[in-house]
Amino acid sequence: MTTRREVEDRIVHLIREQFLKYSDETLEKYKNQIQSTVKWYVSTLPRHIAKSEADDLESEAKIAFIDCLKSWDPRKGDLWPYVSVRLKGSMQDYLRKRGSDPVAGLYEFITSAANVYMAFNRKEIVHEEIDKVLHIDSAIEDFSHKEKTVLEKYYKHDKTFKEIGKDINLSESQVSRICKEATLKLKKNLTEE
Amino acid sequence: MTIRKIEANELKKIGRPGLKAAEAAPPSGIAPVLRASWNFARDIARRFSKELITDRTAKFLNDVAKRYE
Repeated sequence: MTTRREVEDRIVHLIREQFLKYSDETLEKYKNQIQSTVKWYVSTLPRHIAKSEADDLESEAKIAFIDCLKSWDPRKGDLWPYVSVRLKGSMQDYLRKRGSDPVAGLYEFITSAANVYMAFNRKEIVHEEIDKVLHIDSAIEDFSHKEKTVLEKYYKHDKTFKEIGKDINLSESQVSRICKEATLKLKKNLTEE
Repeated sequence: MTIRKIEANELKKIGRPGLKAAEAAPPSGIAPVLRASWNFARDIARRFSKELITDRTAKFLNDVAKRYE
């Protein structure tokens, strides 16, 4: 004997199958909202990442949107509130994945090796890669141990605030606050230098 | 007090009781289980259709009625 829940699930499944055939239409309808979400997210990123990843992030957001259509349950609420949260998450995931991507890592390694080679052999200073590293080390010299740890774990090891908090026995929000303050301080120090 | 003349069209519009209910009724010949959950199906079809540019509620419902066993 089929339960009411099973019948409803089947109805939702059948209608969704039809609905997904028109996913282009939904994408078109929400195009502007997706773009503004991506724009907002890109504006929160450091400039060098924002510049190189903006287009990829938009495609990633569109793929995530289509995925959301497949899993969205209209019984639980409207589409956009569900999608908007997932879009941000998918863009974060994408950036995290890129950071640990061996190809991206290899590319960064080759770029910095090439810069060092240029600097030593041609006596030309390719500032960006070399100076960045030297300056950051001196800029965080006067930072507290906690700030240094948070910055290193967050930016270098790509850990989440939750994971960092667990490591140093602080709450997620405290870690987030420390990271924000330390980043601002670092920015200020670097511009002063 | 003024007495307004009622047009013939107006009477026609008023005098069709039960029209909404007739539109809302499930089509004949569908599975009894689906008939029992017809209001739910209609509601879900509307919600999905709301996310499209054109309203496809009727199409979705027709398809469900055809494919439901």
